[in-house]
Amino acid sequence: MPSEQAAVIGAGHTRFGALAEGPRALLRECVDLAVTSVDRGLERTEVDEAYLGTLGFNGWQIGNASAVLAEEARLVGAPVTRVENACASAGFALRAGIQAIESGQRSMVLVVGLEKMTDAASRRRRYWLGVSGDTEWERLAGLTFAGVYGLLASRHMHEYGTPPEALAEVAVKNHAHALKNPKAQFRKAIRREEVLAAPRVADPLGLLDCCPVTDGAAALLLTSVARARRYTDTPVRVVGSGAASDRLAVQERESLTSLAASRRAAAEAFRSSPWDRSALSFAEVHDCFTIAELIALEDLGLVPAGGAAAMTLAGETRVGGRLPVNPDGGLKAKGHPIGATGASQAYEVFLQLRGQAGERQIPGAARALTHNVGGSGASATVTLFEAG
Amino acid sequence: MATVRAAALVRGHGRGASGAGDLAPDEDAFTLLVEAAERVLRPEAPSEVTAPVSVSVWGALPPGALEELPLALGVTSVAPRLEAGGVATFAERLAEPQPAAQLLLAVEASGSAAAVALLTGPAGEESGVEISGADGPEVFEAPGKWDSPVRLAWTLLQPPPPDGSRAVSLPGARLVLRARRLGPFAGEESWTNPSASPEGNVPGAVPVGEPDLSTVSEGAYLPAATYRENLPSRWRLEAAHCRKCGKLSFPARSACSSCGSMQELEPFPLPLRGGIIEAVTTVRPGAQPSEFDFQVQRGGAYDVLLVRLHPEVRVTLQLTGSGAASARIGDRVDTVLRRLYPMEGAWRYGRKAVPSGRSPS
Ligand SMILES: [Zn+2]
Repeated sequence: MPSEQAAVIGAGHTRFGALAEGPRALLRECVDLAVTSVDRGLERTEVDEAYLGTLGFNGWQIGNASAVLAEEARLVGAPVTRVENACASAGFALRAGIQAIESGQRSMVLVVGLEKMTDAASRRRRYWLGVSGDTEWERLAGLTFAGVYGLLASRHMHEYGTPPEALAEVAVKNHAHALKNPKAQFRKAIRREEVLAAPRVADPLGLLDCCPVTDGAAALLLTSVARARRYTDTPVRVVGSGAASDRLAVQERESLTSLAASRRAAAEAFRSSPWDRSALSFAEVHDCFTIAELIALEDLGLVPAGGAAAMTLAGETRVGGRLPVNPDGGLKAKGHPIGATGASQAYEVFLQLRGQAGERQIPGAARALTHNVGGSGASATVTLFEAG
Repeated sequence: MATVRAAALVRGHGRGASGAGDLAPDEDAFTLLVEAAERVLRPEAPSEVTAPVSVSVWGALPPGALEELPLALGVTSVAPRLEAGGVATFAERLAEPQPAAQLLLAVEASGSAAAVALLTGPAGEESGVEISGADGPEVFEAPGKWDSPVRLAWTLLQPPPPDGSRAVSLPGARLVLRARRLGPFAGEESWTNPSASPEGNVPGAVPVGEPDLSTVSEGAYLPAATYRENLPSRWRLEAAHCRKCGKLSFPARSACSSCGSMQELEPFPLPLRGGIIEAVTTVRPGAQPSEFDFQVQRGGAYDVLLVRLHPEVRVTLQLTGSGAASARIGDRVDTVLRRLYPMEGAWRYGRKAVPSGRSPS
């Protein structure tokens, strides 16, 4: 058992979208917002360790990007480590921060996720979009991630009869949620027919089944539950943390309809949690493509395998439904700055569990889950949070 | 007397400006040669071509392809010879004292057709082709028309199938080639035989419209050494069988993917035909990795499949030779060698899927 329990006492988030700001400005903004969100204030000198989740998209500062965070967060001198697990980079950075607190070795940790994706020529960008799958056997067979998830979608439809309408409903729902998120990239409602009629990208996935290319950053401040009361009356406690890996190439995995890394991470997270899935107020899941949200619901044990389509079509995952999923709009509509997503999900949890989510507030939200997947499932984290 | 065991001629599968028989975007002389050779070698009893096999090539090949042919064909410990001088040399080679088997490969001048013949036994002095079938010997005399190895193989393909791309299949027949020195190469019709250079890279042999390879890839990087290390898996779908735990690993790596053993791995060839599609996607223009830009510009969307080749192995394969969005889960596919992507100034090759039955088995 950990000697301490971790809690989030501050969180900051830039707008998501095609932004004018460069990576340094995004880092500065999200950290400043996190620091000023601490109810009773925080001196930066109290931060004794930091983790930066980023892919280094477009080749920006692949080595020692952590030093840039140290500069922009005004933490030069403190240890800062870059964590890279593709789209799950910030999920794993968060896990590192949780472990630093739980071990008792650190008292205040900054966790940041960042990606700047829109500032390079489209050719270079397309290179980076497929850089985290299996290079030799998937990418160089002609697949980017849209193609890999297209394969998974085809199999899910084949095995479970998942209809295209269920995929479309994920996009419709997440766009509807993003309407109420002022930081989301897309604040535009879409209709199911539009999703189904959109140009195909990697069949059966179309343009509106895919998350966008996004700039953005998010930051979290973690301390121990024991210390948290010095900073706020409403900390958000971390009650479970799980992570796992899987084989890199989909061709070498046992299942084509499920991500084993998600299943393993969820099992670990719930093992230490005082409550189970039925107690969740909402979930933030990794919906890089519409099919990914359906697979996530099943892998996380929120619905039996093959049941996600019916659950989604019944409206159970909408805000107001039985288990709201991605109330911030998800990767699909809020946007997916690769290395920032895991921190962005925890930011939404921080707002919701403190009753600060504004128009999209889920009444009485008290317990939540975040689920962050690297690439097509070679890595995944699941983190469980509880208010107070 | 050398006996022709089998021969095949393969034309490009593209449909270009000059009609059928052009190269498809993922084809070149190397892939045509390998495809023709596989039609000759695989259906025949492999024991007939155990070493030594001599490999002779006429015509232009992409840089480096000559050295890679034995690996592509699974013919070990052979130094392939690049033959110059056209038909006279070809005939002379047949008359030489022969190793156990010879594989004669020829590329048509345009690079859009290739022929392969497998010969065994000693060569003789006579001329003509004798086909010994169940109904008795039939001598097929066509002197003067075998003005190139391609023509020879084409002759052996009688009658030509409608699409011009089927291998000869003569169950029980015995083809006897009685070689003799022929006259100077006439170069009639389109079957011009290029004078091959030792480099195997004849200027002008590359089809018009090829990309400048030195500028192609700003994309994923696979070092040439790693690419080469994995060629047995990439080109011949060779898995590794672990004698310790009994499991297969694909791609073959230096350790068993199940138990980690590094000592007891042996090559395990997966079947090149009859795989079953388990998942399929159609990659639309714009969704391809940048390494495939040239292919998409020339050929548009393409399908990528997860194919079950063995109860323990599935592999990710692009579909070729069939329109996009044509593959279905449960369909059967065979595999062929094709160009995959350019990197560091040269094409890289690997296997792709074709609908089962398009190539003869
Ligand atoms: Zn083993």
